[in-house]
Amino acid sequence: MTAPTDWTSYAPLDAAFGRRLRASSADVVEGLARHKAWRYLAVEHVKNSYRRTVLGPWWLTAQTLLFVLGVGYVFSRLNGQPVKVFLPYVTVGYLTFALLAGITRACANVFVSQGGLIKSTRQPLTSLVLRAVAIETILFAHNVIIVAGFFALRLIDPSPWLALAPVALLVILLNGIAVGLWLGPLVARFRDLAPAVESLLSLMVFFTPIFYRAGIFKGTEHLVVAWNPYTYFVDLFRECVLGTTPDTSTVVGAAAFTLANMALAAVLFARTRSRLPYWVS
Amino acid sequence: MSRVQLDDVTAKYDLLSVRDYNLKRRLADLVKGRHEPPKVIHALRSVTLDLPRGSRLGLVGANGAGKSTLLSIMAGLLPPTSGRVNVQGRVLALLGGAAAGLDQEASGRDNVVSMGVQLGELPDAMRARSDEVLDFSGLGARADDPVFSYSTGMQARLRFSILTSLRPDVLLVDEGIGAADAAFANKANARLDEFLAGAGIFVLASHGDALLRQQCDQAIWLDRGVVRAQGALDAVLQQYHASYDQQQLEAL
Repeated sequence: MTAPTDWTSYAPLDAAFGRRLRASSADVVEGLARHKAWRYLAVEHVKNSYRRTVLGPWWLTAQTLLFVLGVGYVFSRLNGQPVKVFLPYVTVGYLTFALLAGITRACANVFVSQGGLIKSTRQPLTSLVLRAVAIETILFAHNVIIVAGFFALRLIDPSPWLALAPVALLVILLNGIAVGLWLGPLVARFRDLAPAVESLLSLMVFFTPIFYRAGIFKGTEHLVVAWNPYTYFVDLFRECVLGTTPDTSTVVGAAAFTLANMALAAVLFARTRSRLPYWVS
Repeated sequence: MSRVQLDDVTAKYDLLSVRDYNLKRRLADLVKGRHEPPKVIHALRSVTLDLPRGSRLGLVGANGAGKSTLLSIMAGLLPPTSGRVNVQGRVLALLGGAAAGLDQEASGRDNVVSMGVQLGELPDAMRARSDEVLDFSGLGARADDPVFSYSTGMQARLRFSILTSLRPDVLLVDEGIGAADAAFANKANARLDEFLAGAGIFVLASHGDALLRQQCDQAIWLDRGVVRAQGALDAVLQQYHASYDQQQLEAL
């Protein structure tokens, strides 16, 4: 009998939850262990997407730069804030949001788009999620150059909090992996969730404090942004980069959503992993 | 050490309709109290088999008899609904059509590395091996062109070359190796013989008797998910064809 900890074993569809959880955990562990594989595949994917462009990676960065400069300027005037202060705020916030939205979008479609692979090439399903998250991280890294430029131009001053920015990024990526493990199977099962995720994401830009400060909402009004997990993750990373001391509510909110997200991933991935190959085509 | 054991393996799954894949419709049905359970496909019923090393098994049966499902379960690509599956050794499967698992945008050379990597090899090891694999595939100067520009036969050759270069202990093949030409078929057969001489386990699902006779010595006849006959290839083929003739006679 194949050991239950062996990632290759799909728990039979009639298996108890404990057995499914062991099988799905083994999948996650094996997926993480194969980091050389998904890192390679992610880099190849990004390289391939540049093959037919002239500017290559710089096109993406240039596009983002134009966007944040324009939007940053307009919104600093709208908010009555000095451009020098508000531009970095908008830029770092927007880039973080773009990473979160990109990961969410990629993770929603991760299994649906790889159905052929799931049915022909045996690998941990977690590897597919990790590859998707890695691709979004590489794209984000292109945009980080803009932030580096802001540091060089002294628009942002380095602070000790900057050392924690990689930790904040890691928290975001961890959440992305968890989202892939629960939202990926859900979208594979209910295909109309993919467009729903898409339209939700376009709304989220407005419910996340990127182009305004969360402080403009007083009292119960604060719920406009408080319900939204992106608020906390954007805040966490942005505060670390800009050198503001992270707010307690930001840290608590990010921690709470991370735990809830991981719990959801553990339960849903265990429940759906064996059925997933039957749902995709 | 290679071995394939299936114990009382059953596979049934819901055939999801467009309606089932739609959450809004499902919720609407729930509110209206309407419930149409999805159609259940019973692909395999209580299949038990034990293949020791050196086995060369052919799978025969009509379309939809469960051959591909059985191969997918052996390959670990699908879980059974119930029953136990024990496969020892490295399993590789040529399933799902000639192009399955290939990245159409990437070159043949890149696919050698990326497919190997997905099957558990390290990128450097695959890069080191890529010339040898491409040489065997006979793609020649086309190796660096994107895979979508290849013919079906070329894609099948590429996939066969990659998978067999990974030294499987158990090799599962659905409908031969596809549209490969005669020259490549000879090379592929030589490689299969090499693999079989190493006491690997080979399972081939096919409708081609000639192919089965060439590469297998035992067979299983699957009929609507049930093992109808099992044993020496010729005997099983005879029974299978006899039932087929019988059906035709009855139809007349």
